[in-house]
Amino acid sequence: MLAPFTPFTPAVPLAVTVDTPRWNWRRSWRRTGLPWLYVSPVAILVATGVLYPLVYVLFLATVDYSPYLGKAAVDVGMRNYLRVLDDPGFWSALWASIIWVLGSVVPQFMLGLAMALVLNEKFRGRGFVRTVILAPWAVSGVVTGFIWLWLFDGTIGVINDLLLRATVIDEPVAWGINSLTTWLMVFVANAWRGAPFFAIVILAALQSIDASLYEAADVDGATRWQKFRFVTLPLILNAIVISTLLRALWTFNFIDLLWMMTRGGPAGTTTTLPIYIFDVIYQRGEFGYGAALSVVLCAMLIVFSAAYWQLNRLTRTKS
Amino acid sequence: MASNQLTDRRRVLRGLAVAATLPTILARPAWSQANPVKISFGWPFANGTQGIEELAKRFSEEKRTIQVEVQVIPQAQVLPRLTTAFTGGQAPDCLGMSDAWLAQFAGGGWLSDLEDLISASGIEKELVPASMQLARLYKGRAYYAGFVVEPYAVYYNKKHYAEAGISQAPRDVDEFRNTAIKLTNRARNRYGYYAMGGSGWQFQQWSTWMVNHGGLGVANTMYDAQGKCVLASAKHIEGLEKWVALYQVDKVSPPASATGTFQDQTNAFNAGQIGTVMGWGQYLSTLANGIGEENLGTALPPMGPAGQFFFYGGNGFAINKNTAHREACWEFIRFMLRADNNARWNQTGGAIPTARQAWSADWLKAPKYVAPMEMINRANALINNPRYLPGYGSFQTQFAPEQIQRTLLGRQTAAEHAKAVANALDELRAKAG
Repeated sequence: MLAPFTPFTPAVPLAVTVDTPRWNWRRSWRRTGLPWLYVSPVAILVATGVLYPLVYVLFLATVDYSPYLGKAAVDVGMRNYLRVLDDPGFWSALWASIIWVLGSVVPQFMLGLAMALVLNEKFRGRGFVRTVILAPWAVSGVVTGFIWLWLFDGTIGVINDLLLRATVIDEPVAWGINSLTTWLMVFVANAWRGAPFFAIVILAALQSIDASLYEAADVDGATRWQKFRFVTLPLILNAIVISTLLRALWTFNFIDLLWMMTRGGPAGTTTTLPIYIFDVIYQRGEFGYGAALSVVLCAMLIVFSAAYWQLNRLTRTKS
Repeated sequence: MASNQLTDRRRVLRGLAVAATLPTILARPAWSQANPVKISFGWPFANGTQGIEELAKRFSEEKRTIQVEVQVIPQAQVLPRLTTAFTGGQAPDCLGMSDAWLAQFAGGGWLSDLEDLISASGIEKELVPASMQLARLYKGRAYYAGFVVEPYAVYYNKKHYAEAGISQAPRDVDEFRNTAIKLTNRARNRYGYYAMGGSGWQFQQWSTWMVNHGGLGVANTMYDAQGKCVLASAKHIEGLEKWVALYQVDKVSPPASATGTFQDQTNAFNAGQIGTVMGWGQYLSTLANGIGEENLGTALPPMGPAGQFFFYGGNGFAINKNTAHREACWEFIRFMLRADNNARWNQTGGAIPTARQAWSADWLKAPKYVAPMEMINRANALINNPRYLPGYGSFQTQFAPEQIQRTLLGRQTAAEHAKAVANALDELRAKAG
């Protein structure tokens, strides 16, 4: 049975003084208004430079807009997105993009890692080598494309000439007419340009590793490979994840080098999504459909980034 | 002494006062001279920038009421840059315009219709008819005034020809094939022809063979009276097969040419590896510099069973529809198209001026200009190619190269190729309405 309810009666009556808060507008302005004032230039810039175009592209993706035909935009709802799914050009360009990203990023990373490991060692002239090795990263995609295109030229190219002199080949190879050799050509060119980026990032991470960790590993009798596997790799993993993710995203959107070297050929083999979108928008003049393709591309990249990041987190948690 | 010093000081002060007021007195009153009109001129071509800047400078000096500012637009980025500029209301007041983009920009409603200015100025009589025909390629209205007209001619290396014992350029397709075979020596990395399959006016090469076998449609277009593209007929396919055979069977063209661009073709020709190429008129100086003026020969494209047909193109000056200074822009255009100015600009590039008065100049009497000028004058053989359709840009730079690469590399037959091309051109026409 429950005890009867006895209300609490304080021995001493509570003296409650209610201090009516005075509205301090100055404090309030400092706490809430001023920070907004400070961030407002950036907020306005972001809104006009990023949000507005983004919203505009989302809007464009829902209309049929062909300005070159002088026609006004007509609302088509989700039809542009449905057209993407039915478009064989989109799927073949997506496949080409995947090949392009994988074939570019993997060798670039391997080469960059090797370069960083070598540059982390002490040797005479290291400063000079570090500077020189980073030079290709400073060259623009268009110039890189031109350089490698001429080196690989099937009629007057230096690479063919060297291979002929070394009797590796009997007659000049037409690198750009075969799918496999064309991919090889662009991967080599992109690796030349992109590997220094990995080298810079990984080298920075390598230099932040405490030397005492290696000393401890030496005391434990670790081999070179074990030191790399259990000391170096875990400590540079973050840098690797970020750099590969960034490079993959850049490569996916990278058009200059590929456009300069192949123009999407042979027979459309290297027509990646950005090249395809460029053609749809600026050459066919289908701005609405092109916007839908861009939104799909953007969504895919966001999903890829999130998945990659999540995968990395899971792997780290497990280990 | 003191009074002398005072007088000197007064004189100095008086002198200073006069010196200060003199420029104001001498200068014309502000109201007597209107502020000069400032116009911007967009130059979207890789070549000829210096010549245009020089003309703009001279015009601004001569015509003090109009000042021209030249804005150089990289040719590779013309479409995105100008489209963005026009849609955003930031495009130049007037600009250089290629026939390749004319339909796109005129179709977008961004270019001013120049018919009134052309008829009032009487400039039509001064310009080559072929150029005016190009100016009116979009819906029959003039959207530019041409400053250069270029035929798509045959260029050959006279030295190669002499070494192979060939005395003249081929006149028909059979002669063309035999000549190319004679010129080819694969062991020496020498080829008779460059069957270009990459981007950059490859369509003009293979479609020449198609039309010289199957002929053209109504008004020298590629469409028949029913509006259907004529390129898929048996005769047209036969022409294409013969052209493809030069690469696949006779092997008179370098293997790499299947994806080679216009630039690759130029490089190979200038390196002395190719006997014969086809290209535009502005090519002349580049090729003459490459192999030597004395070695460069020009000729008409070969004749087929259906006759001889030529492609021609050109660039002109257009005016932004939304400019506030239409008259000033036209005045600048008239200045640039004056026979002396037009001739001077074209001479540096080795191109053919549109001003007819300039055609009597001595430099245009050089042998290398004979064939190109004959082509421009034979209006009945000029192909009215479908660049007047908005969307042709994509056909020319993406669709057509992909198709010809498939065909050259044996991934599709000439018949499949012709059908795909005809369908694409039909679609373009249908879209244009």
